[in-house]
Amino acid sequence: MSDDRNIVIRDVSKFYGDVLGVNRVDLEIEPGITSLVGPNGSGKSTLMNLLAGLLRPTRGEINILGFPVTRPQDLFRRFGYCTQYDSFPRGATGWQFVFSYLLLHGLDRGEAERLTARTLERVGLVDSAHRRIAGYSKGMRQRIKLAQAIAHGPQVMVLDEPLNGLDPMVRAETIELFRQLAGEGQHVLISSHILHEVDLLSDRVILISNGYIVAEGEVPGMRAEVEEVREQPLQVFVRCDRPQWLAGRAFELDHVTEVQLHDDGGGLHLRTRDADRFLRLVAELVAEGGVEVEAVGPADSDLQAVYRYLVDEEEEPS
Amino acid sequence: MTVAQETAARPRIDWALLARQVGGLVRLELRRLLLTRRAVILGLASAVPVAIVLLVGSIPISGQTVLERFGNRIVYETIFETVFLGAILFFGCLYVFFNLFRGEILERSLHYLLLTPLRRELVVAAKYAAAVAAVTALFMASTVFSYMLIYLPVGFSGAIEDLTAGPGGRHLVAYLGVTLLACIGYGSLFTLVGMVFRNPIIPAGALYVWEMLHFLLPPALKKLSVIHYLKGLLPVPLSDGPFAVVVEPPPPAVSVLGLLAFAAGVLAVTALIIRRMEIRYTED
Repeated sequence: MSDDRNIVIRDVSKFYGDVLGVNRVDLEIEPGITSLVGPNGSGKSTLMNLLAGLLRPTRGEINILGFPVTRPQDLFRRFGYCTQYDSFPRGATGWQFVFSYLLLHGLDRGEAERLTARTLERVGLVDSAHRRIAGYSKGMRQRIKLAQAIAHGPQVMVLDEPLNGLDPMVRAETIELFRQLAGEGQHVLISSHILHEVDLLSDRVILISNGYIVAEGEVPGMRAEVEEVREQPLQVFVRCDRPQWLAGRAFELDHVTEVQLHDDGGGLHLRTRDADRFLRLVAELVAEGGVEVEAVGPADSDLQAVYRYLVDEEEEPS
Repeated sequence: MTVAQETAARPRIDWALLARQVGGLVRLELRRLLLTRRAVILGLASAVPVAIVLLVGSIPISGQTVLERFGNRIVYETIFETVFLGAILFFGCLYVFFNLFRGEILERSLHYLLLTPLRRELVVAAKYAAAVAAVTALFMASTVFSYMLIYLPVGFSGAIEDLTAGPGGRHLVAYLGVTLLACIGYGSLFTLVGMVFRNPIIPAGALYVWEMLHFLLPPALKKLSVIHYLKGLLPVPLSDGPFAVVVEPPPPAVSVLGLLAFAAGVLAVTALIIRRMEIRYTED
């Protein structure tokens, strides 16, 4: 497929001084729903801000539908960005917010009014359209941002955590809206820190961790990979006052495959196929006063740990 | 045909579309400036010269008003130069133009503007033009009202005669021109200051001292102050006092063109800054 229909990111890095934002990102994203998934602080918003030209890459280049991000006059007719910022022009109502920025696209008032009405209906904010945004709930603010980003009918929609703060009903409607937009041949790039939240609606998933793209691919393949990874042992470290005793208790568990004491006698590493059960055991032992734990966490920093982190997030609500 | 090819096939610049976009931004900015608290504060500030002229023209001291005793042109020139030009125009422009971009950075809404299909240079130009229009409208109204009040001692017929047959009309045009040029000059400067500085106190304080003490500066440095050119356009020459370094005022054409060129240069620098600007509100 031609580059002119895709989002093309070539060897892009972004550093904030010495701090890494993203590094050596190389992606070509086709139309459809693509999810960018990674833990908080992994570089999702940085990458999205780079796509929107709100940040400048330290290295590399980005082309969207054949346009460099430095040409707003061409790009932003076809590009909509719903940022993470929960802020709005002071005093604006929902209607004014969507309508006034549509006028900056060069639309006449009638057309801008028609699009504003249609978009507010799409996001379910018709009844609150003439109320000030400052009085909106978190979910309504999220939806009015989304409306502003998609009102001009862009071919590329970049949405930073768009499902945050939405109640289940609205979330389902919003997901349906994404499906409709993608069905019309548009790009919908969604970020999330919860894999489960987006994997069912996405055509493909990009996993990002510590500023690096650690995996990308079609969802069925990724899901199989995730399941496979879940079966593999995860390395966990514990810093505590009684590592030998804890090692003994850990070995009683059938899912713990290996335990290694730290040289300084202040902790241990172990491999387990069920980190959740092990962590529950540690919590119980701490509650009983059997051990004092200073720190506990995954010791892997590779793809497996990222998957595990994301899958754990998925399980949190239940 | 891909969108890039489709765009390449279109005329290079669609002027009608561009005019609608810039018009949309100017209207948006005008609403923000004239229908918010800012307009109330500016309105009150612009009423100050009117109130002062009203006072000096209507309250008699020892049987005569100040206007009658010292002459209405001298009194008005003094009020215009010291109060209006020396404080209200300077701080009024600071208040509006400093916040032109800084205000939106602080309320974290500038990105909405930068995500519209307008070149960032045009965003600067449109916001600046709207602010000049809003501020100039208020301050010109203040100039006209306060100037009309100097005719309190001579009444309506005396005012009409002076404005049509005497020098009054020419003087009023000169004051309006200075008001407009002050808004253009200081406006451009404070737009740039707002892009560069988070807090206006130090840069604005330094600029104010520089402008107010320009009469003490050597001739070469005087040329680096906005007020030097503005004063050259005022219709009634006043003394700057015994310590002033006296120089010939620049010809009106030099003052006008110089101030316009200065504003254009400062705006060009502002446009360069915004072109390279990144949105990272956490740093602001």
